[in-house]
Amino acid sequence: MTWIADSSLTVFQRFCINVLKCGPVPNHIAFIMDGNRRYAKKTNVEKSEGHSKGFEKLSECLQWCKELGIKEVTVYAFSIENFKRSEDEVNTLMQLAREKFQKLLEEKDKMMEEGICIRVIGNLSLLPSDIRKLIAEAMILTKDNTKAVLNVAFSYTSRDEITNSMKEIVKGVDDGEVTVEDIDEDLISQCLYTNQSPNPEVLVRTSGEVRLSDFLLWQSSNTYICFTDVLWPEFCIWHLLACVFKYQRCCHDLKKYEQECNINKNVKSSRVVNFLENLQRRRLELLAHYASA
Amino acid sequence: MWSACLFRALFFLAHSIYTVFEYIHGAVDSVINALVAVCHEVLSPTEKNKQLQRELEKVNKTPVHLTVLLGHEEPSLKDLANLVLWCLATRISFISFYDYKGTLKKKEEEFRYEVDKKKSKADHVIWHSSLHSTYKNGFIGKKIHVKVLTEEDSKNSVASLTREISLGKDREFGIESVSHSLRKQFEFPDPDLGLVCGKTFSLYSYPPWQVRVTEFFTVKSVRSITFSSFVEDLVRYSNCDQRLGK
Repeated sequence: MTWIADSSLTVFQRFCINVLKCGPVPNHIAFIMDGNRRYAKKTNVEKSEGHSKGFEKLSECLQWCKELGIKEVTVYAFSIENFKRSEDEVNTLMQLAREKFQKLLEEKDKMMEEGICIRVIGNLSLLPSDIRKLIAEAMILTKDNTKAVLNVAFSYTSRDEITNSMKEIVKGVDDGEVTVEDIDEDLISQCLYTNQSPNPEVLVRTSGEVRLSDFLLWQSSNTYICFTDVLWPEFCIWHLLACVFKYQRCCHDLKKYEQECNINKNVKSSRVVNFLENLQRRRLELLAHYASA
Repeated sequence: MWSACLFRALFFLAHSIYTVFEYIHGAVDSVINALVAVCHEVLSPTEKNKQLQRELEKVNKTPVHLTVLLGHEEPSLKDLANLVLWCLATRISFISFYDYKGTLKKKEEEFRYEVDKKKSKADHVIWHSSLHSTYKNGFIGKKIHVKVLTEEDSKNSVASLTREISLGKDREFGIESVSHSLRKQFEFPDPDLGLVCGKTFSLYSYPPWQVRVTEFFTVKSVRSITFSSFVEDLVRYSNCDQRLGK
């Protein structure tokens, strides 16, 4: 199963997409792809089969997003908490990731042609070194692509991300790159793994759970949250269109709130700009180091 | 050209139909609620209590901390005070109200007065705010902690903790210690259940660190919550299964 699926939409589905596109469509949408294991249980197949089905759904879903004009997608693929699962299941999931990232590198011509930028957000130091290497290669290869962005939260939790951002800042203060007065919530946002992305306008969680489970806690402060009962492998285009439709209905409310929040946005000092550039450079160097390992 | 017009026309039609549908749904809902209220009046008080008792028996776990997100709504003090009392009745120990606009914070004195007026003498309400603490030792009876949250308690508190750490000596901090320090500032445990008011389901910059595993339910408005709908939410909450990554 490839990352870039061919479009399989019917004429009617395309027609509905065109209707929906007359209104505001989110630029960035986030998914908590929950329910793979319950799907496996329901259909009497192995857990690993459920996870593969989940991945197939992801590539299909990316295609729908592209048709809708959604440029950026963030998905919760593997939480740091998931390391607590049975060794067997963790190994299966890692093997799946290994295969998929390998596949991604094999498909690199298609990736580059479509202009897709892949970013893996999370604590890469916790991963097996071969997977880390594949991830780093994929990220370096696609880093300058701009047509579409896919953020894969892998070995990720939001609390880990926020703590990491705080650590970067404290280190910056110790090294004299920033001062204590420069520290505010904006600076913390700028040091998160997602610092190159705007906040998602919509966050979808499947399978009927109604919590965020440590995903994008910081970034979803002004996001429309959409909980749906369907299991991720059964998620279809109509569910996605329903989420966008509902987003359109409250878009006005969210925009109003955003404007209220943005009144006192400060301009960044050159010191802060320098610090952030250095941080970005250091992160790229680390990736290059992982890739060459 | 004509197709673009067709798409636009259908787009507006779809949203208009939905609006009408939503309106009818809302109207039907309020009629049903009114009927139920009338029926309850007709029922004898003992019958009513028995019914609630049966529902309450289904609640096998209650949230320790219930938080209410007011969204765009103007706080209705009377209804908020009712919520505090119902939490007392169902032994929920912490309740907080988040109003990003800060209106409730300004009306906090008034809100206290409203709660004091309604609560029974035996119950103890502990307010957590900068105004003045009302903690009493050696108290027997039911008690509840109440806190009004604003945007100041949100991302800002993480920024100020970062400043504090930068000025200190400890460089070995991690998720645990950040959690610990933020908990001290926040005073309350992380919310277990969040009731989000209004049609728009968004967090409006609710303190991010604290909502890691909070279960969120939506309600139409604080005004629409009745004791029986509140108990229904508690039943639903007690059926939520937390897997914590496993």
